[in-house]
Amino acid sequence: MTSEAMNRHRHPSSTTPLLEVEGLSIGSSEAEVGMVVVENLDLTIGPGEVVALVGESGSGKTMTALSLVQLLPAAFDIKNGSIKFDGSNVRAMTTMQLNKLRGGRIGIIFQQPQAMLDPTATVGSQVAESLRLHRGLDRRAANARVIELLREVGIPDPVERARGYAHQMSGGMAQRVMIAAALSADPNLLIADEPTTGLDVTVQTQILELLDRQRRERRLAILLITHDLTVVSSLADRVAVMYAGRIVEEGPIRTVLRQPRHPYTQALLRCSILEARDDQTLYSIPAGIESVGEISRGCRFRPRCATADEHGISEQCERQEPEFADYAKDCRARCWAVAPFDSPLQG
Amino acid sequence: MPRLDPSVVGRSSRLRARGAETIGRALHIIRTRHGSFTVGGGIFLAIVSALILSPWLSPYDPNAQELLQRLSSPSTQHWLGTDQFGRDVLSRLLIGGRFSVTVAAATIALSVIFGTILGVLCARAGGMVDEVTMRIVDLLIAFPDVLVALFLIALIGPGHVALIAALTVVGWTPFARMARSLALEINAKDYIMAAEVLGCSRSFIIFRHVIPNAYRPIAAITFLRFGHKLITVGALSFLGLGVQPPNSDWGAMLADALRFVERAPLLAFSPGFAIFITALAVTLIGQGLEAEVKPRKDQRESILGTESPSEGEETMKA
Amino acid sequence: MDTRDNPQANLPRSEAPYLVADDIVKHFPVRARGSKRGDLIRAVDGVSLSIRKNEVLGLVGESGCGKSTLARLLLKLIPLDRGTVSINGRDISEVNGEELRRLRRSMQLIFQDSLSAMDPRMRIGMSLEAPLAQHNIGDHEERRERVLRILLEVGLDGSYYGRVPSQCSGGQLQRVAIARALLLEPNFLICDEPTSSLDASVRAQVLNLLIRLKSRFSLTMLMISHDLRVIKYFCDRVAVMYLGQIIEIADRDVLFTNPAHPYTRALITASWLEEIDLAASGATVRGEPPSPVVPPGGCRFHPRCPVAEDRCVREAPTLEAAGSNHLARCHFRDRHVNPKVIKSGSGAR
Repeated sequence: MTSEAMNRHRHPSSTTPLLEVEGLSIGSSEAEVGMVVVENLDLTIGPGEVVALVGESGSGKTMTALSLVQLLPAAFDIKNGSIKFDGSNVRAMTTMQLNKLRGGRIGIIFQQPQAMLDPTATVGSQVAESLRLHRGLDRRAANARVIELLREVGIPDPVERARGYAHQMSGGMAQRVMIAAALSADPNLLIADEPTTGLDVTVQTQILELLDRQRRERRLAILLITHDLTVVSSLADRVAVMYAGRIVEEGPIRTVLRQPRHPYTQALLRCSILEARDDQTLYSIPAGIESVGEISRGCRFRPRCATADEHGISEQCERQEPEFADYAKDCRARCWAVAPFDSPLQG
Repeated sequence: MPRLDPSVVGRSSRLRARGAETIGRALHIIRTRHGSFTVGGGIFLAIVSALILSPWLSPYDPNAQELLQRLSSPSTQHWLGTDQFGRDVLSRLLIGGRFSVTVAAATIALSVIFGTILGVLCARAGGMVDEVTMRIVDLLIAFPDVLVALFLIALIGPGHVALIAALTVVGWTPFARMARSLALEINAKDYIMAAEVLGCSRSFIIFRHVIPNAYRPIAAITFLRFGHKLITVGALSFLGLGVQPPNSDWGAMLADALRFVERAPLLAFSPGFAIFITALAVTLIGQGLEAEVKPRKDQRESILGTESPSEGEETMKA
Repeated sequence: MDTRDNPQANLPRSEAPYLVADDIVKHFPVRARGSKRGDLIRAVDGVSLSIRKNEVLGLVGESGCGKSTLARLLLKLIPLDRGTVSINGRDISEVNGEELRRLRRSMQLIFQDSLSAMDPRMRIGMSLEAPLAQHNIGDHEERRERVLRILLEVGLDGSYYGRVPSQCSGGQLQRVAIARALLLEPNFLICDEPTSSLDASVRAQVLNLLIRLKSRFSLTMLMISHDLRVIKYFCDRVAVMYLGQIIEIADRDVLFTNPAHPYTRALITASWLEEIDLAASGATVRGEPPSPVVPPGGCRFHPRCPVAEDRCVREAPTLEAAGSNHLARCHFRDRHVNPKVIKSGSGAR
């Protein structure tokens, strides 16, 4: 593939989306509890595109990711919405089809990779099992491919390592193994849930480099889920910021990070880079009383938002949940303080 | 459950609330514990109460013979009938049960105490002491306890005390293993180190941190082994190696009853069923406790979209 | 200069330091499969440093560099193989038993994983009161008062008193841990990666809390982190550790503007991820930290070093001056290279 062609594939804005999520809502299975974890979420990922889903604990980002492959824990259900992978309706798939999908066309990696690996099986066998299942390779072919894959993800001495066990590896190396396993069936989409959390900073850059290289070489789309905005900027094309079960801002990475419009994104960015105020204390998001999970009117972020008061729109923020406002090309934010870019109010 | 803010609430109401909270917690346990635990617990509690109250509950003296009534079927006078000497089966069951359950309980109690202490000490000592003791444990576990008991009783003679001793000799081993592994695991935990950093004494750490966090899995296998012991005691008594006449326990009753199994089947069935139901009850308790201690492995498999790791294992051996 | 590193090298002459570690060593025997008898993990391999009163010393390094072991050695949670640790001039190897237990009040530790640092079966109120009781501080009523007060101080209300750890979030538990450490009114606090497992906004809150408490209680601190961003905000001086050795130590501003060691430079670059161009990586470090059992010969960093030369393979560098109040363990410490990133946003002071 020429570099021209590769560049074209890097920005596939006009091609049909690989993953299309519309109106996704996830809540608790038990009717009495009535907790809403994700509400009316839209998400699109094009082929070869890296989309980052950013949010803190409780934002619903992991639930969203799990729902894409129907792996929600028993306590939660998809209440509404459609999930289409390459045109096929994921929610209508049978268990067999889902088993083929997971680890096949959709690879998945999580944080704390050592917890995800079987401590009693060799590392190589675990990568191999995926190969045999999704690619139908025989033992010899699978073995060889495993060594190749381990080498590809940058593991030194792959033959030795394949014979070893998960607990003998560092976190960074175990994560490479998980990536190898996830990529073994040559997926179109990789779901990476906090892949670098808990790893040393040097290892983080290495893992991100690895993901970047893999996606360029394989034209791999990645859904990168993280709470760390700084991790996102180096790898992602687009970012969607989640708060209390909803996306509050999304757009191309450079635009959103350079000039975030939603008060939560602004605050989160400041926290992520440890920006200090004039009095030398760090910016942090004021506590506010969070009613996560309960259905409330008005903007979810209102209790912690300083912008509402500044702009004198508190009443509206409390009364009505904000709609998306497009503030730039392909960028939008769910905030009453953000003026749509084609409106005469644009300042 | 509502949390009390101690800065706001006065002292006496705190005490009252603490009492209410304890009862509430007990009810909470009953409601939420695994089904096995409640069912088994209920049955066992009923059985033990009956056995404890047996001198008052048994309608007759278990040794009182009434030869005119021998081998009679259940009637209003003798709910479970009589044996070959006209003795009331129900009374004999109630009194005999005391021996069966007590011998098994004593064996388990001694095994748990000895095994746990040894296991914790091994974990603490490490090195050669640990190695040697664990090898001994491995060796003893290999022997079936019934055979060892037979051998020892052949040496020291039968009787319920002998039975307790013989069964304890190998019975402590699984507890030692479990206690050692738990102690190692817990000692590595951060909160133990935190307690040390905070200047807490060794004994505080052991009694307030280690033991409360360790007793659950040990309790689970205690009850499971208890069930096993009841049956073993029953079997050894059946062979005549347990309680000696004129005392009798369920196993001995079963042995006596075999000759009359055609004429009076209930005679054999009663002690057999008693052993069975008691063992079942404590095993259910053990299973209920165990269910709360088990880890989850399913998530990993569903993520990789695969079934069992063993398939992959063969691949790499090629 | 002699080859033994001078722990006083960074201090103005007049002030006596609070803590002095002099060439401390800790090796662990290896217990893994396939290892020979006599194989040792050289967790801490000759570390000397000192901390002044009311100073925050940062300790930076990747996992496996020995920083957590170092913390435990300083608190005498594990015994030293060689060297001495002195607190206020007193060698702590002489302090044992009851005296040690009492000394513990003045030296506390915050763990990285706040959940595992709490007994899961104990209510928070009890977890906090117990150490007070162990040191015979106050009676029952007074202890509860203190606990409630300290909970408020760290931003938690009285309802946390009755909660169990599993009912609290990571950030809340970390506050509880800080409260628990401060209840004993220590002089010295070691924070071992206190914010690594927290969300961004919670991290900022906890760091703000620590800064405030530091001045309120006049604490001397050792802040351990692999994230240089946190270190830059929080610390007065910084020591960088690699494979059991200190490879650079300097005042904070000096370290960040003029890092002398290639490893430090790489860490700085890697810590500001939003500035990194992944496709054009050059300053990032290759590979993983090697085994602490058999550290590489010569300079321990040479296999991963972007500027290593022959000399580095043969000759192990010593910790020598690279500027005023600035030591580095590199043959080329005089070749100063500005790291790619020193962004705006000054530190806490």
